[in-house]
Amino acid sequence: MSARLLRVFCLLSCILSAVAALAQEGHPAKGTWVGYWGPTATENRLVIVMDYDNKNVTGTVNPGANAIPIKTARLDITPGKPAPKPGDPVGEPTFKVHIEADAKDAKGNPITIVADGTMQEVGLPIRSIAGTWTQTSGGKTVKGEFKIRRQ
Amino acid sequence: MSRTVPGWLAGGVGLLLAVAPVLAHHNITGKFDPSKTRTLRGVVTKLDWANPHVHILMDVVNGKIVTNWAVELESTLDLERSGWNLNTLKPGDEITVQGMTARNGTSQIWGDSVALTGTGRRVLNVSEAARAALLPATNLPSRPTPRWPDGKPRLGPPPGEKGYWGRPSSTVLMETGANVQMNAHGLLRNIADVDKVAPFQRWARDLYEYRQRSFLKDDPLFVYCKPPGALRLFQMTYGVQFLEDKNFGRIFLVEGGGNHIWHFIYTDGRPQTGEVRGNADNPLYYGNARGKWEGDTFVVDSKMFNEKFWFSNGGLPHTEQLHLIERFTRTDSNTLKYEVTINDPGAYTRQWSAGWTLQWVPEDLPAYYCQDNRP
Repeated sequence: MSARLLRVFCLLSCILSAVAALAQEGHPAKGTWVGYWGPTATENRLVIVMDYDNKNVTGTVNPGANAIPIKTARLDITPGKPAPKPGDPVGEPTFKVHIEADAKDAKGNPITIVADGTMQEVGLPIRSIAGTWTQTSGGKTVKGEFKIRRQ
Repeated sequence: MSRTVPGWLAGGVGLLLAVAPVLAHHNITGKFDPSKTRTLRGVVTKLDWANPHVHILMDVVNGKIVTNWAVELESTLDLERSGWNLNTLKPGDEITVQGMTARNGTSQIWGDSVALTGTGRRVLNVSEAARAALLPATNLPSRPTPRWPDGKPRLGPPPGEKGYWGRPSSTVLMETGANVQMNAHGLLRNIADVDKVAPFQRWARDLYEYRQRSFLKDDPLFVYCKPPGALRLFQMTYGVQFLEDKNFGRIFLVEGGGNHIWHFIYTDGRPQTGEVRGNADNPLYYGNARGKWEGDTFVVDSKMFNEKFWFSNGGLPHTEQLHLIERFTRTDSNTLKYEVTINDPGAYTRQWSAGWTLQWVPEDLPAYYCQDNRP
């Protein structure tokens, strides 16, 4: 692919991602999420696009060239406990996100990715997910934090 | 008047009085805690007369500390209907306020009662007449359904008259036949009833429960002044007006609240296609809607909704796959029967239905505007 075509492709990918991010109130995981993962805060750029196909959360990590399809993704919502009566304090809800993906590094070696995070500010269109990102390649595991924000 | 009206009227009024101690046009317990009530005495520094809620700012002295509190009240519309205006209070007036304080601990209070400290006279309260303006009336003279020369029922006013549809018999959404109690804003009285409301998919059920447990605090209608999209248009207290444009084969629906946003239904037989995500002129909070008459019932097929809004009071989730079949039947001059079939395979496990009635209000559509970025 020529550099010009690649630029056009990247531009189109960005536009499509932005359009997908316009939705705000459907499935909470749906949208384009941007952030970083790594032992240091800004080590590895992340763009994760997630959707919901009426049964499962689907999506892609870093769409475009060398995109990584998401193998498994889940959103587990705990609405909060205990059941409140008027005046009771609201139980803390949790929105847990689990993502698994298989990829290959530049040499073609397999990489396994597992991310477990918690969705925060779920009522906002620009909600975020933060947690632990674990990447295993060639028997070596690298663990770090990740934080992505919905665009 | 329809034979069924007294039943739903009694039930609706009873339920409203039982569970909604305040009139607020949305659920205020997301912001204010009914268990934390307080009485404040202080001096008015400003009366902010604006929608969606009027605010009084007042200085309250506690020892050497002066705190400026914000007292939140009903909308300008409800207060003006009650005889109040922006001159009702002026800076320097001494007042006593009773109400519930903000959940987040800030100096904000819902003004259940505002009284001039010197005389004890209550001000800025909502009158019985203003309350009645939002509830179904019982004394409207009943007439046959008004019709066009072609025999079709008129959904708007007859020539020379005015009016709109409001005072819904129900302002909440649940599957027909569900035995669930909610307040007027769709807040469940018993959180254990979540599964009875609708055939939710798991994620939608859990999100609905989360919204309920959060007292609907994230409702984009009130947080961001988003339109009451889809069927929520017919649950709103300030009503909706039908403007039938026979020449161009379309019907405009104008909402009394929510900035007089309009929704149009094409009746000219055009295909149900268009920009999937809408555009600036039609952002599809009401979908691509096509209508046709089946006897005396106007049937509207709507799809291609966006996901930027809650499609009902109470926070039931939806996706872009939402598909509504709405049936409007004007059973007499005062009654509009509304029935809706909801199909959203992204959020629900099967198709389901609901329905209520709206009442004719022979007045101009209220002028209520939600002003962005205001509490």
